[in-house]
Amino acid sequence: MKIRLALAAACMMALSAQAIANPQRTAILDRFAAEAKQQDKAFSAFSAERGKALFMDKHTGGKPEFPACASCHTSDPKSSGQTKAGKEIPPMAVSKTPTRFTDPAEVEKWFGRNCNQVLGRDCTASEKGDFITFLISQ
Amino acid sequence: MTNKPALVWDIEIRIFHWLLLAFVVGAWMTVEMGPPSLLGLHEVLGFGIGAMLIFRLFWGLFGSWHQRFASFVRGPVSVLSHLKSLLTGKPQRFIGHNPAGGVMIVALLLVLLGVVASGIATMGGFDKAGPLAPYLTFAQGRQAKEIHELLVNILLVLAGLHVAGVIVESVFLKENLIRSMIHGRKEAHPDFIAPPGPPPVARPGLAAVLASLVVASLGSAMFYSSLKPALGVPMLGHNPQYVKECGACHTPHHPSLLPASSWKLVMAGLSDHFGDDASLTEGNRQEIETWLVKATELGWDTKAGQRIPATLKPADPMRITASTFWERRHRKIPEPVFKSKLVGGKANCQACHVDAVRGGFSPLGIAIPEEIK
Ligand code: HEC
Ligand code: HEC
Ligand code: HEC
Repeated sequence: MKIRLALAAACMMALSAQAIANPQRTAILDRFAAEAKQQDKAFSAFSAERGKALFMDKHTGGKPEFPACASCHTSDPKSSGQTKAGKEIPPMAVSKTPTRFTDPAEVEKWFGRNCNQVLGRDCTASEKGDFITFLISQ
Repeated sequence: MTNKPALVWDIEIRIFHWLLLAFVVGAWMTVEMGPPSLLGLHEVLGFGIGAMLIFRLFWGLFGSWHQRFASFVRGPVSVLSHLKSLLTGKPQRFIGHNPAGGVMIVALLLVLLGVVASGIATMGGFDKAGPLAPYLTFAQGRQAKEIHELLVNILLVLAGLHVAGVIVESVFLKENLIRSMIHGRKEAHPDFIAPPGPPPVARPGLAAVLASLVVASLGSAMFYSSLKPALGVPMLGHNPQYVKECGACHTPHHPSLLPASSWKLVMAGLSDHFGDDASLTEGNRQEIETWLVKATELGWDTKAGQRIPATLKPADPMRITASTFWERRHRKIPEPVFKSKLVGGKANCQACHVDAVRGGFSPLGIAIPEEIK
């Protein structure tokens, strides 16, 4: 019985580790980390907490139509969102959509568009890293 | 002369008569009452009617005597004299069709033949499908559609006159002609007027073989022709870059839906794109714009490609959904359907049109998602 449980736990850990430890995603995070350190000497590590706040909180500065990232991605990262034009957006949580944050051009493009829409400015490298770290934890 | 009922309508003609009625009523109902996707059934019924007409033609040449055109097609003099006999109360009694009925049969068959032919032409030019799709332009298809509808109206009038004629004759002759078309017999009468000349030998076998040959060869020619590319529907390769970038937020709209000038406007304003931010890297932006403009230059003679760009609102040149054609075709769909989660918005053509990405918009591929209804 104990052995079975341990095996099941090991399998699950292996699965989630596979979802998380994706070399492209790691490279993207590493690049954001390097940039963040350049911008702010005090930077130590990304925080899922801060990422969660960025995802959920209502912001000002952007378009009143989209006060939060959750406006399109919904406040549950594990469920599907909807674009302004009405198409489904697959969940942002890496556990649900394993291909999330693996294509550097896609990541740059959407951070560029969406931070501008919601915050009215570009996101900083540490905000981007926090955001991804939060969604890896989901 | 005995009063034994005589077999007048053989089994082939009775089956033909009632099957034809069922097919015509069915074809009429599928377009008048059904959803657009029933157009497929309408077309199948139409081809079926065409095949039946070919069989009727050969039965009219080689079938049993009362079915032959030679026995019932008379000149105007006989027609008038028969109609007069009805008015004087001493109706002439014919074994087969009376001269007025004979005219009606020929008229019905000819109009039906026209309905089928114009229907296939409509299918070809207007919907870019079927055997005439490789040969007809959209404009010709629209004309064919008008002729098709006109002929159907004439057919409805003729059918009404045909039924009225049957009822009138039944009353005057005190004989149920509708029942005759079911069991095939008519009461024999001493004053029957038989068609001229001795009845020739019926050759149903010959009629069946010849009709089958014509139906089979015409059918396979049509099938072969319908496999050829349709006129004015160019081959446009799948562009993964376009589908990825312009399909991220809504259905990647087919290039044929807007003129090049509109696409240039869209591509010049991506950072404020209908209130959304769709900005691209300059390289991507240029590649997509070049592809869109080239694709429109191929020339699209489809319904959507002809009607949507031609009816755009000058004040709203980037809005496919503001074109008069689009508005008219979708005005029966309530706003909440577009807002529902499964559709999401008017720009998600794909939610209701399976072939939207290819720019087809075939009526056969239209379905509002089940769950909404
Ligand atoms: C206007 C709607 C909208 C808003 C608001 C929005 N997003 Fe998005 N986001 C999208 C769409 C659409 C996509 C692309 C669809 C997809 O990747 O499945 C996307 C994708 C992304 C991606 C790329 C994911 C990947 O797989 O690479 C990131 C990163 C992202 N968004 C971050 C954000 C952040 C951060 C915010 C808030 C500041 C935000 N989004 C707010 C619509 C939005
Ligand atoms: C970030 C999301 C997004 C992306 C990416 C995007 N669009 Fe759009 N698009 C929209 C929205 C939102 C609308 C307005 C939809 C509505 O009003 O329902 C729209 C509408 C349109 C329309 C008008 C549809 C209508 O209602 O008639 C066209 C044409 C169009 N987009 C073309 C493009 C092209 C070409 C691209 C690629 C370069 C593109 N879009 C990429 C969000 C996007
Ligand atoms: C909510 C579902 C829905 C959406 C979304 C939708 N359509 Fe339609 N469309 C229909 C229906 C239903 C019809 C048939 C209307 C009728 O004839 O009764 C139709 C008809 C059409 C026709 C005419 C087809 C024909 O042969 O008569 C065209 C062209 C068309 N749509 C284009 C579009 C385009 C382009 C879009 C996206 C910009 C779109 N539609 C979005 C439901 C939809």
